[in-house]
Formats: sequence, C-alpha cells, structure tokens
Amino acid sequence: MTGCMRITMTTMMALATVTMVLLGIGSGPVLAADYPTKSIEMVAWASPGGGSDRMCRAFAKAIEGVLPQTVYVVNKKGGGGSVGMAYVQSKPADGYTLLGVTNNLVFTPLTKPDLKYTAKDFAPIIMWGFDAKGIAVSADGPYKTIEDLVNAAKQKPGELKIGTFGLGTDDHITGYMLGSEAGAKFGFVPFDSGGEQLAALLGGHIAATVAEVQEVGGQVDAGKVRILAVATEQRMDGLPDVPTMKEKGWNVVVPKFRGLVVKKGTPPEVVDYLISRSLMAIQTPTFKDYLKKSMIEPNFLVGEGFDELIQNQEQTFGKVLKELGF
Amino acid sequence: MGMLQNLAMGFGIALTPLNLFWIVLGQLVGVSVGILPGINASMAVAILLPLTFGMTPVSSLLLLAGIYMGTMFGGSITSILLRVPGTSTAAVIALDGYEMTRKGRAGLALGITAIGSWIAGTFSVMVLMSIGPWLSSVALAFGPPEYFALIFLGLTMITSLGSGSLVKGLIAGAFGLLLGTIGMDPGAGISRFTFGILGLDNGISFIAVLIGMFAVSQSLMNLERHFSHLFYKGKMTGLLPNWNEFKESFGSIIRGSVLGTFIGMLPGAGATASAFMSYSIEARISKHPEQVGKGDISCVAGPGSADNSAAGGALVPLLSLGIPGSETTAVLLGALMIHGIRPGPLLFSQHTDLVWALIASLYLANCLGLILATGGIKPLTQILRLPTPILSAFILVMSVVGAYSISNSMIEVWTVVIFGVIGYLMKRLDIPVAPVILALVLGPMAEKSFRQALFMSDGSVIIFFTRPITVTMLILSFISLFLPFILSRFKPRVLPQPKQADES
Repeated sequence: MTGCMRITMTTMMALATVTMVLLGIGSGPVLAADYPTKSIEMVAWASPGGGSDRMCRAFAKAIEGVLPQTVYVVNKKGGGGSVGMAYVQSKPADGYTLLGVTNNLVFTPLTKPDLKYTAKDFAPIIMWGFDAKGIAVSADGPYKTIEDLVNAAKQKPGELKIGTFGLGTDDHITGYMLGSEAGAKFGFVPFDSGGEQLAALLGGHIAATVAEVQEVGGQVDAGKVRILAVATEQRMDGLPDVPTMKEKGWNVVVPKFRGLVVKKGTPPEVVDYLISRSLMAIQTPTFKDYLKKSMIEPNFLVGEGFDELIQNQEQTFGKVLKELGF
Repeated sequence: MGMLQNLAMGFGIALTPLNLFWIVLGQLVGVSVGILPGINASMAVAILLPLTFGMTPVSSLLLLAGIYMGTMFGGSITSILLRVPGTSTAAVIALDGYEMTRKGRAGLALGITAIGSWIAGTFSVMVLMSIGPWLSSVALAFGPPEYFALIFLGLTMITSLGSGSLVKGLIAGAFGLLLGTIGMDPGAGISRFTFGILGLDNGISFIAVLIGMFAVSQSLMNLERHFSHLFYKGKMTGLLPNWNEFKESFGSIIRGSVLGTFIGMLPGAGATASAFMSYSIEARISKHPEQVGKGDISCVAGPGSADNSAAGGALVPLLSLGIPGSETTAVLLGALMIHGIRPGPLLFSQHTDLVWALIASLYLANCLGLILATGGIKPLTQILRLPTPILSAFILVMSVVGAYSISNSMIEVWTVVIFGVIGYLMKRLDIPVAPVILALVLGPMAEKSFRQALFMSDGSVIIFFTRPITVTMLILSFISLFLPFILSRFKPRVLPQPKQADES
C-alpha cells in the first residue's frame, strides 16, 4: 500500500513538475524540487468536526490539488488554540507544518500572559475570509432595533444580560465594545457553545446573545431570532436590512478571521510558494463551495496584508482586554 | 395522519438498497469505533464527514446516523467483557457489567444491554417524532439555574454509591470533584491547577481517566493475582435474558429510556451524564443493594438504555430548533451545513424528506443493532477464552493507543498511567470508583451552571429560590440526600453481608 502510494507520489510529483515547467509557474525563486519534498502536516486546533477542523480539512483538500505532495490534517485541540500553536512552534520552521487559524491567534495569547508564544511568532500566509458577529435577540421579545436594546441597558445598567462564548473572547469583546461605545452597561453570561447560547436566548434566560451570524441563520429564517446589528465594516450580502454597529456611530468591528500561518523564520521563498499555492487553492470550486456553505464572508489577504490585520487586532483588542481585566 | 404518511415516506427513502447499505455500513463502523477506547462517536462522525461530501445529503446523514447509533452499542461491548470503556457513555456499564462477566453472565449482560438499547432507542425515536417539538420547548425552560439544580440532584446520588461505607463514598466523590476543577475556570477564563500544561486547559481528559481507572487498574490487579482467576473459565450461560431476568430489568430500561431522552435533549448535559445518573438511580432503588457494584443486572440495563435514548434525545433540539443537544449532534449539524442545509425550526417543513428519512434510519439502525448484537454475542464472548496474559497485554496496548488517539498527545497517555495506579490503590483500599467518575462528570457542569446563574443574578443566590423548576429540584435533592438517614432510623438494621471470597 505504502509502496504503491510512493510510486503515485513520485509520478504525481514528476507530472506536477513537468506541468509547472510547461506552464512557467515553477520559475519563481524556489524550484518545486526544493519544497515540498515530503508530505505536509496541517494542524487544526479543534477536535474533529469543530468549525476550525472543518475549515482545515476543506483547505487541506483544496491545496493538496495544487501541491506535488499530500497534505494531512492533525488535530491538536485545547487551550483556545494554544496547544496547536505550541505544537507548531515545536516543529522546525520549514513549511512542513501549517496551522489553520482564527482570531484566537490574537485572543488566546492576549488572555494568557504566561503563554510562550504570541501571534508574532507566526508568519501569516493567507486569510480567506471571516465570520461575521452579530447581536441577536428573540424575535418575540421587546427589542426591535439595536437602539431599543441599548436604551433598555442605559435605563437598567448591568441588568441586561448578553450571552457570550466564554469570557475574554471575541464574543465578549463585541458585547463589551458595544456597551462602551454606546454608553450602556451590559452584564455577560459565558457559555460553552453557540448552541447553549441559542438555547438560553430562546428560553428567555438572557436578553441577547452575541452570535456568529451563520449559526443563527436557520433561526432567523424561521422568525425565531432577530439579528439587531452586525459587527462588520459593511452590511452583509445575506442580511441587507441589518445595520452595522459602525453606521450607528459605534466603532465595533470584530471580524473573526480565518486563514493559514506557519512558524516565523520559515524561508521567504517557501512562504511565497505557499502564498501562491494557497491563492490557487482558494479559487477551487470545492473551497469556494465550502466558504459559501459555511457562510464565511470571502475576503482575501496574503502575507503582509494579513500580518497588518493581525497586528491591528492585537492592538485594538489588547487595549479592550486590559479594560476587562485580562 | 400526516405524521404516519411522513414516516412511511421516510422509511421509503431509508429502505432503498443504497441508503440501507449506508445505514448498515455506518452501524458496522460505529460498533468498531465504539469498541476502540478513546475514539468517541463525535470523533468517528467527524473523521468520516469529509467522505460524505460527495454523497447526497440524505445518504450522508444516514451513514452518520448509523455510526452514531452503532457507537453507542459498540462501546458497551468492551466495557462488559474486558472492563475497557470503549466510549465515555458506556463506561458506567463496566461497573456492574464486568462483574457479571466474572460470574459467567457476560452473555446476559450484553443481551440485556442490546435489548435495553433497542427499547430505549425506539422510545426516543417515538418521542422525537410525536412530541419532539413540544418537549424541546420544555427543554428551553432549562436555564443555568435549572441545570445547576438538576445536576446537584445527580450529585446527591453519590451517597448511594458508597458500596457500604458512606465515608469512603464521600472521599471518592470529593476526589472526583477536585479533579473536575482542573482546567479553565468557567467564570474567569483562567487556568486552574494545570501547572502550565497546555493540554490540561480543557480539563483532565475524562475518557483517559476512565481508561486508567477501569482498564489499567484491572490489569494491575490481574498481575498481582498471577493471572489465576481473571476471566471466567467456565461455561457461558444465558445469552439472552429469561423472562424473570427481563422482568427484573424492564423497569430499569424504562427509567433509563425516559431519563436518557430528557437529559440527552438538554444542550448542556448529554449521554454520559444521563448514563451515570441512571446508574445512581438504579443503585439507589435496587432491590438487592448488596449486589450493586457486584453485578446487578438493573445497574447494567438502566445506563445501557439511557445512553441510547440520549442519542435520540439529542436529536430533538437539533431537528426542531436547530440546536445540537450533544457533541455528536453538533457535528451532524456541521454536516447539514456542509450540504447547504440551514438547521433551524424550519427543517421539518423545508426538508421534510430528509428529516423523516433520518428518523426512519435511526429506527432501522436501532433494529439492526439488536440483530447484530444478538447474533454477535456468542462469538464476542469467545474473546474471553484467550489466555489471560495475552488478553491483559492486549488491554494495556489498547488502553495506551486509545489514550493517545484522544487528542494525539502524550498527556492523555500519562493520565491513563497515573489513574491506572490511582485506581489500583483505590481498589486495594476498597474505595469505590463510581463516585469519582460521577463527580468528575457532573462537577464541572454543576460549577459552570452555578457560575452562569450567578452571572445572571449579579451574584445573588436568590435566583435559585425564585424559579419553580429549580426550587422543586433542590427540594428533591435534599430529600435524596437525607432520606436514607431518616429511613434507616425506622428500619431494622440490615446485617452486613459477609464479604465474598473473591474480593476485588
């Protein structure tokens, strides 16, 4: 079986090299023969089936199609991504260990000061999109607009409870920033999963919840849940009637980015090669289909552009987290 | 009757040869996965999920549902035969199931689990299609304070798991609660007692503790006894329960089914909690309290049924509200989304065929499980005929490999080793294992919901006394806690049972 695989691999590699030479893609600073010469490991920091795991498996499949080597997914779950981060740092910076990331790359090190690694220890390859956060309420509740909710909170400071996924997370930050920008005080109740947040919202145990828009889509369709506002730069294509918080004058933009990084110190030509292949991978119909079906807003940034976004988030949210006592 | 028509349509879809093939395949995969320690239903479903991308939504769901149901039974096989918990939900079955094996009643233990699973599965599927939507609105009434009260009620049951010594039971329970505090603090998001080990942030791995305390400690015990009388060497009797045995366990099966369906429905609880709570209830009301922990058939039948009906129960909020009731259903929800289906309250009306095919396939998977199980019991019990040293080595290898596969890291392997030794010492000191496990399952849930409730009330405990469901359950908890003491004052004291010669 392995022998058979090896032959196929070699044949594939040879074919790919020939094809690339013919197409002139291989004429970059790195020759396809230098990298990759063995299979590549892609680390998912979630357990199998989690959102980040599905993301990694979809991307691994897509990039495998444009690489001469296999890409396999390994799950290193735990500690808000810190286990996966530490694992990648324990490996050589040679481009054979990829890490699929979300904005936990920024949040986890900020909330765990004793962690040895931060986002700065990773070299960004590509961001392929982000999940939009929104403030959701029960549709038959008293809050019809985001102003209703904010005004109610102003009248009873701290009494209105918003459900979040954990504390010190992007959910928590979204709710907190809305409060501080709009001059209202909310209380927060942390939950372990989006499902629990939704159940508590529908059961009337909390006034509102910070939700990933994709997670409550079905509820919105059924008229059970109303999204009052989203924490994005612009209104979303799928929700043209839902205002952004920004357009209300509150600067709350919390995109949960999704993308790929490697360990810092990876040779620049390998990084460039990975960027070029990733750009091909995200254009494949299957990956586009994955983004669409997972309701991830496609948004591409590579290399330095992605790095800038990460640093930006580190600064903005680092400040907010300090205020929250992290 | 729209419902029956829909159900007929569902069976129509599920019974096409190709779809039936997927269900059977899923079932077989599920049973094998369930047998391997460390791999849970949710992992199996998730790993196979990418393979279903090319299939139609219906076929892929049927395959995944087959795996889901199959794992539930598969996990109990090794629990009963070898005291190796294949899945965390089946671990509790090992307590009395393995003792039954040692008495040559392995076939009966497997048989009653299979029948109980079938009855429970049928029950939860019937609940799902008849009053599912209504029940899910009941489940929504459970907010953090209600969860806390429910779990507190479960924790009070520890007093009935002491196997004779209340003090030892409480020591074990307190140890379990302590273990449950390892990991991320649910209120502040700060790591506790992890000593900088990142892999402990999500808490100590429950399944690794189980493997250590059950499988490894048992192997150590066997070493001590020079492999003399580990496994039953006599004739295996009673592959299927006779009428009396069935009658004896029928009540347990029904209680397990009802409890499992309801607890499985609550997004914050789940199959493992329901199986353990069912065990505690059976232990408490058992007609032969001296038999509990030593091979009581009700203590196998109850939890064996509860985990299966919890699997069906978890689908109730998934299908009627779009909220997953368990980790596995969360993965199923991901599968639906991959196929472009938005799970939510409209699922029943927008994807009628899919939903009813799923319900029908669950039922089919259930019946298949019973056939597989009854056919497989005899060959399965033959594994006990292996020479004991080989079997023990095999168990240790399976334990370590299974532990590593939990999250591909050595932390779980060390957990297994350490808890193997702890479990062994506890056995030598005659401290029961069950309270540790029950407290470890329920403790973190209790803490989390307690903290959430306090977040809701800005720190005031009044919240636990103003909500009717919470108050009712807290009153029940206190009755459960103190009733044994009160009753014992009015009852003539039962003479302590003479200790068995083959004491473990």
